[in-house]
Amino acid sequence: MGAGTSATEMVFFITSVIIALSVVGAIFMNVQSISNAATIGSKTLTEQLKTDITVINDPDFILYSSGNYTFYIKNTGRENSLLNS
Amino acid sequence: MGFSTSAVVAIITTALIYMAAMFYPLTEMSYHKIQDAEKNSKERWNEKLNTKIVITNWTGDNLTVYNNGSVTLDSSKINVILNGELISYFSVTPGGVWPPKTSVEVDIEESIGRVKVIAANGAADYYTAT
Repeated sequence: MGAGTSATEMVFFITSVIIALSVVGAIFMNVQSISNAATIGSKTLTEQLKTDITVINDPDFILYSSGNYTFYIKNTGRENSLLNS
Repeated sequence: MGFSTSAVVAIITTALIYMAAMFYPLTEMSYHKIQDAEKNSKERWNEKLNTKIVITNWTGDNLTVYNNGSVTLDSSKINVILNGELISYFSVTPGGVWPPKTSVEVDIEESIGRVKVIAANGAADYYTAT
């Protein structure tokens, strides 16, 4: 009887530890994914806030040749990585 | 049964504390980055709104451009558009620091036409000479 109770408790213990570890693993993966998304989101937002461009053409004289208009766009922001993608 | 419960509580509590310790610094760093960028953006807007340049005169090949705003500009970073075309062969005197309420001379090697001078932050002025 005593040995049977011990074995049952051992099975309960091992099962509960395994379930607890699975739950913790699942939560950890979600937290990590949220954390990564927040980091990427903040990087994108930071880039957007630092980026600014201005069309500097003279509206009276917009160059037109062989079917193409020429527009001059000046980088007036503080980010260098424009027009990369 | 009691020991199992204690073990589970210990595992979950330790894991939650560990996750919080990992998540908090990253979140704080992201928040600071965004705050810095917002500050930067507001500073840029403030600078832009306080910048005004005026072309006061066009004599011969020389344009006189007056800094009528309250921001110190860099005269070597201006752009000139002459008759709709961006030119690079102009020269500015004096080059470099361009304090408020002072003028610079821009030699554009042309005496008539329509010109637009653009400061580094996008502020601009037009002038037409016939």
